[in-house]
Amino acid sequence: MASSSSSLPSPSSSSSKKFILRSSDGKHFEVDEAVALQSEMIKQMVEDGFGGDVIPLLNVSSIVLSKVIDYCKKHVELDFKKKMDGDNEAHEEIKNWDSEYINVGVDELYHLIMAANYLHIKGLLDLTCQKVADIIKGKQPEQIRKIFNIENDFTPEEEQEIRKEHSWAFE
Amino acid sequence: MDDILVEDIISDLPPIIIEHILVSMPLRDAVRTSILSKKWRYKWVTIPNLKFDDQCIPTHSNAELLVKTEKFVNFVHRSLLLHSGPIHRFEVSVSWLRSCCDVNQWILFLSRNDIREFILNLDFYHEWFTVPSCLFSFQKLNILELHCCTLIPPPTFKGFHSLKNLQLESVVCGNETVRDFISSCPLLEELVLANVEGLDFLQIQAPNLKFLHVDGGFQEIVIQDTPLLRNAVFVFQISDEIADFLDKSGTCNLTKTLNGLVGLESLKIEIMQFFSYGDIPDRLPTTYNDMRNLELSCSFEDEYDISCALCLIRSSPNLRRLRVEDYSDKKAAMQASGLDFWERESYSGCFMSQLQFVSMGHLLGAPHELQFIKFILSNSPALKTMTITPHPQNDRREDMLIQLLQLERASTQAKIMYVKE
Repeated sequence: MASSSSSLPSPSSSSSKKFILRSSDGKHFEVDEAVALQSEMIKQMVEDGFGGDVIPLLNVSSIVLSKVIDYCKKHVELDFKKKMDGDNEAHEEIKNWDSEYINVGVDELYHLIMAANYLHIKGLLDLTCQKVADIIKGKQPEQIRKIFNIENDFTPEEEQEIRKEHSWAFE
Repeated sequence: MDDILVEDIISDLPPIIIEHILVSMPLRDAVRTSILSKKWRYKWVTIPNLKFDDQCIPTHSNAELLVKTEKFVNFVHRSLLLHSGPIHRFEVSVSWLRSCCDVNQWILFLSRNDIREFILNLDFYHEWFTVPSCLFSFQKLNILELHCCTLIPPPTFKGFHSLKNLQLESVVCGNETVRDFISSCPLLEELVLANVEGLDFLQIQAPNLKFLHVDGGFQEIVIQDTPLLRNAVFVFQISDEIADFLDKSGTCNLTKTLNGLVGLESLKIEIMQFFSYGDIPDRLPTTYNDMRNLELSCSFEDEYDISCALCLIRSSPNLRRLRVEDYSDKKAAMQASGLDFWERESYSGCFMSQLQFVSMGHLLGAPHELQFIKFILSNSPALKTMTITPHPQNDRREDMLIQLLQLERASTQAKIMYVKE
């Protein structure tokens, strides 16, 4: 998918329009229009007349961008399937694919959140935020701090006080 | 999750993302983040969505009702007291709560907010919760879901002008109230009415409606002015009294209720009987050009049910997917007569050029079922798969399969898949 020079459209590319995205580290990615337009940010740029040649994405590295493109490609494909074959099966397939896709470490999760937010891809932002929420859910504060490396800057007295104030949520 | 971040980046995510994360977890977990660090101290207090359910008090799930209620009410009060800023979505979903006056108070409190989404999912056994009149002043409402309530709009109520999604389930509300309520919400896009007590004559006028789900015992349904309706689900409960009414009235509900729904893409009907009275036409006057998906449950002991199914299929020339379930009584279906009916049908041709996937469920191996399958197979040149699932009580599966295999198929690529259950 990635090529280090600005690539020409591949011979296999048929009638559908292509876009070239450039990651922050200068790599080029050629994608179908429908895939690129999963990003509201790119959509806006295209509407404003920036869609001509290469679209620079200053905040997304090539490693993250390629993962984001995987997501957009799959969702274009699944959306199409949903349209053709009806909701139920496609819905199940999306759910399974998403849960497999988002099974990543916290570091990667962070970069995906930032990319989804920057590129304005609602589905991916929902998915990544839900994943963080699921990690936090049901855990003790100490565990959460450890997972996300959050420094506890409260004194023991302060912490005690907050715990008391919110005792109704700690019982 | 074994790889640990070297530095803490999650705490410095943009506020809008932190908020997104916090509203994606149970409220109790969101409140508990206040103890993580100074940065997290007040992050939860401004989240705009508050959902109160069993997950608020997980450690008391087996406590006795009084203790549970006290803990839950306390949780709601404390949260509302500490919360600051606008509340856009408020949801209470607990089946065991008995304390009406607390709920009333919360709604009154919320009326000072620009609440957009309000969900009340209670289950007050026999004692229905009467929605306080201040709810009707929530003018910014987008979504309203009520479960187990009595709905009596005050005379001053002029409708919810922003409401897009209305769901009334096990609500007490009469025919006129429902009719007026719906027509006074001009932007309504999704409507779910399930087991509405007091509703047997349903009238819907909703120019922006896209999705409709009705479930209940109806004598009559009139749907008007819904040019955008794409997806409709009808689940009927036919009591003896209603069957009697439908029989006496002799109206063809198929035409009366469904004819105007020209934009349908997907239609599901559970218990066809509501439609199988009166003179059922071969085709509806309307052609459903956009219809892709039909799901029907009909009784294969009854010619009228079958006629309804065929009428809908013929009226949908671009159908891609068809799912039919047989809910007939085994004995009656096996002994059903009137097979000459199919002789007539074979002449009033029907060519389903787009039909690709058919699923037939709950099959008893009854004569009408086989004729129906024969009809589909011989008229669907694009068919890819026909899935057959037998009824658990089907004791002549082998016979059924042998007969199925002999049927002619118009499509050269049609596969018949047999699902054991």
